[in-house]
Amino acid sequence: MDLLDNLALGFSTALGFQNVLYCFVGVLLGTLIGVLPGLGPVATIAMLLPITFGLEPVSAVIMLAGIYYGAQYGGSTTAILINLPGESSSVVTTLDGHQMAKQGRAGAALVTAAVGSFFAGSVAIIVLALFAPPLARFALEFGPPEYFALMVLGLIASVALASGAIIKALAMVVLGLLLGLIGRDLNTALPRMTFDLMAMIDGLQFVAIAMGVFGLGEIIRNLDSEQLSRGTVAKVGRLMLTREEARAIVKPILRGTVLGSILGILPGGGALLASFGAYTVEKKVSATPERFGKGAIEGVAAPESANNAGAQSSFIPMLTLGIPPNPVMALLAGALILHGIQPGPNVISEQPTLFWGLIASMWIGNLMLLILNLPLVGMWVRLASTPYHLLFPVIVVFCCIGVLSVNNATFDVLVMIGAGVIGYILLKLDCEPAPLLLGFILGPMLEEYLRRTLLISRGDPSVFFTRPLSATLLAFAVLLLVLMVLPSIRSRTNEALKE
Amino acid sequence: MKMKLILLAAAAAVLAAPGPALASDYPNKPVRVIVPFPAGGAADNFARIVAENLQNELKQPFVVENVPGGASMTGIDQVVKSAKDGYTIGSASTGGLAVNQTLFAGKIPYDVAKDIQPLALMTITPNMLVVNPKRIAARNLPELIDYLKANPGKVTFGSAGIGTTQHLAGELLQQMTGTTMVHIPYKGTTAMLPDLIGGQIDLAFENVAAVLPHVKSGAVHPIASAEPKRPESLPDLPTVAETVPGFAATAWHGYFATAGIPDDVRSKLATSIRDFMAKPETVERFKKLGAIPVTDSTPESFAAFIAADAKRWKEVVEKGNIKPQ
Amino acid sequence: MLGWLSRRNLKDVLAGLLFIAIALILGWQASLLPFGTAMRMDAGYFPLVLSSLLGLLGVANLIKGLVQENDGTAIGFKLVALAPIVVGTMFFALTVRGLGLGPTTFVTAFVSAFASRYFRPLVALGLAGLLSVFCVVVFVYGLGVPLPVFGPWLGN
Repeated sequence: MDLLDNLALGFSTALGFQNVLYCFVGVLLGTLIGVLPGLGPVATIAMLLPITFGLEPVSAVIMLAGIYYGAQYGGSTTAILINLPGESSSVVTTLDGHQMAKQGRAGAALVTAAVGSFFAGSVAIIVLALFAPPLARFALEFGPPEYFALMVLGLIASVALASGAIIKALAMVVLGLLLGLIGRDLNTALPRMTFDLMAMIDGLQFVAIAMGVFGLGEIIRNLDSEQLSRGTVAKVGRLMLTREEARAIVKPILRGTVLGSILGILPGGGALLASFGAYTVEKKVSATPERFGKGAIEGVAAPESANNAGAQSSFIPMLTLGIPPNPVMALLAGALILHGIQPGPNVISEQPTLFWGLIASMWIGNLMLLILNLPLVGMWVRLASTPYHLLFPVIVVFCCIGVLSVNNATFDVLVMIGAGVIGYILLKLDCEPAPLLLGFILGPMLEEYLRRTLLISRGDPSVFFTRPLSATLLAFAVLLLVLMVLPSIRSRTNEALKE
Repeated sequence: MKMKLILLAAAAAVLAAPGPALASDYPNKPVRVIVPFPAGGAADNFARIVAENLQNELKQPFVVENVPGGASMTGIDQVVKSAKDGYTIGSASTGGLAVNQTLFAGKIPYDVAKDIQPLALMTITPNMLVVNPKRIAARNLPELIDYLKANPGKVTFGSAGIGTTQHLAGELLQQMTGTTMVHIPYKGTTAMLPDLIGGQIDLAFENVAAVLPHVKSGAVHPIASAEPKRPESLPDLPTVAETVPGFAATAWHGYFATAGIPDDVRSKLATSIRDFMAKPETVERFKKLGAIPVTDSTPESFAAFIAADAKRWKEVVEKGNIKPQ
Repeated sequence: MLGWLSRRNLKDVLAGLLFIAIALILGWQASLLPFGTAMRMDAGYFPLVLSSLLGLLGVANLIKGLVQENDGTAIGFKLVALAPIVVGTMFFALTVRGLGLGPTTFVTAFVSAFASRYFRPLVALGLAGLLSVFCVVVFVYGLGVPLPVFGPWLGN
């Protein structure tokens, strides 16, 4: 059996003393930067890239990969404890994770995230080892019409994230889409909605908007209610899961893993779509969808599993085709090139030690993260129960440094402040920010794929329905829309009958 | 305790910093190296390799700062607006120094001819014309041109974005052969490649290093190199110029400073970069990255090179009516 | 009139007005761009369609708010909480390159701390001091963020 030989090769590489050490350094560093709000893996890996020049290529990639999935783990910690998503894929985790924390179940939420991530990561690594080449070929079947259909599906699903008034959620999605379009138009190079400002020519940064709305806006809102009542110190409840909770998360973790492993392969918003797709699925299949947004543990388990599975499977297109599906993978590809390895279809056959060593190290790294994170849960929870008036200046400063470090642009910090003020007002008006952030990411992609499809088809929209994959995805989108509209119609007729 | 020590050390470092720089002892403090590209890409790699050498050679830290965005204009502008003492230098490529002045005429915050002091051309990154073999039957350039002439406006070509050399090469080919294709812009090479390999689009000019693995695997078929002469690394691949005389679409990377830095600082930097590029180890290292190192560049020759390139692309952009601003 | 308005659902009214305002501003910017057609969209097509949609949703929110009765919750924006955070972060944005990370984080943390009603000057000073040391160690020395510890304005 080839696979066993390959895995043996992989583990013998990854278990070498040096590589275990670099893997550990990577995941530790990843956890650290994931926990620090605003500082994402892209900025960190970019800054640490020069350090890896002197390492063996395998060790370098093992360490950088560790930073990446370590940051995914760490990012969910801040999302749960202080409602601050450092990465687009942890936006969804804030919805129920932070609510759980407010109810004193932060420990349970963190344990769920860690266990779900570990399980999902392990499964996705097996998928990577077994099916990488065919899956990569499948991803190539996705052309512009298919991506457009997928974005439509994602957009419809994003409305399901809202637990409040649907019309406000819709407005927030559209506002997000619109803000996402600011900057240079891809097809004409014309600057759009930039008010003739040079600094806006590349648009607004996701991190600046997220830190503004979720970081500053949320802080101001918390302080404003603190002015009325006693502080909002999070309660510390029991750390472990109850038996019912443990039972409740099994299926969401499984479903999230499947969704994440598949969608992670797709370039662009794959991992993001996976995390909130998983959330939408749970809300739909749940017997009690009204608990979602108010601390449902399934709402933490599913998206966390999905985004970690997605993080692992996003290695597939990079390692098998040389096509990085997200900025972190682009950095990893850059690191490989610098070491004289051109990522591409030949990596598996020409660099078996690298490919299998990396896969084995990812499993070891995930195990390290689990061992590292479970004992830390207690510490995080205690840290987060620091009196808020001591905690918030720290978050403010971290947000500033994090946003600045992304592009070394002062303007991004100003955007964050603006987003913070508007975010505060929106929060006070009961407008939920999560749909806005998803719209912000989907907006430019939606337009890009639609216009590209029409360019390639010379303005013929029928391709959306004649290509089987795109037609199927659009059919799903319509089905989801019907499923979403039906209950509200039914409840309205029920109300009408009562009257 | 440890933190205190570090703080003390930091304070000592501040106090020990010497006064204003004298050109003759340049550099006597760290130098900022602005790279107007995101970290990790090819452009960043080239700049970092050279910065590392400057650091070893001139015995002062050369600190790389990535300032991506604004089609390189943000980063280049930071160098242009810095003090004229040589303590801020930058790297840039074709787009930033030879295309933007036409593509963004009236919006570009600096004048390349007046505000930029070229130091040295580092390297050329050749582009090649590749087709998706499942969509295009042509296997050489004359066949392809015949096909384009027979099917005007039917063939799609992808590029890494408006105003990139990949895009302009496609425009130039159309203008010189009197053919028309549909341009499909992408956000960078890595976004374009899946659609080319997957057969969503027909052909593209693309960086040799980025497409070579896919040529080897058979996913794309090479047609011609966009360099004026056959690159040493691709001796068997014809150039476009062999069929379309005068065709050249070269992508390059070089170092520059703001205009008006002291003469001795300029020559110190320029000589140091050129000597490094001429070393056999450096040549090998750049070749491994799929680039052609330039071993004999001077500030004067680089300035002339930029001017010639800018003039050529101005004609292409204006003739192709590629929407400016 | 004012009495009637105060009994409406003001949150929805204000949200509606805010969405309409943003839609007008971005819609104006988008209207400066070439529009194209549905099959050959130009740069302005998507932005203008979306800002119109946002405007419509804003109007819908506004009407909904005017029709509904106030649910009894008041909305008060608290400048005491808002101002210190905005001033503190603004200070960071404008001075971090000039003063360096050390002094800037110190001031930003200290000024932000004013936003809490539990603000105590000595505690805030201590916190700001610890935080600026932590940030310098972790970000500049640990992670190599390209920012000076003490910037050029301080004679460095």
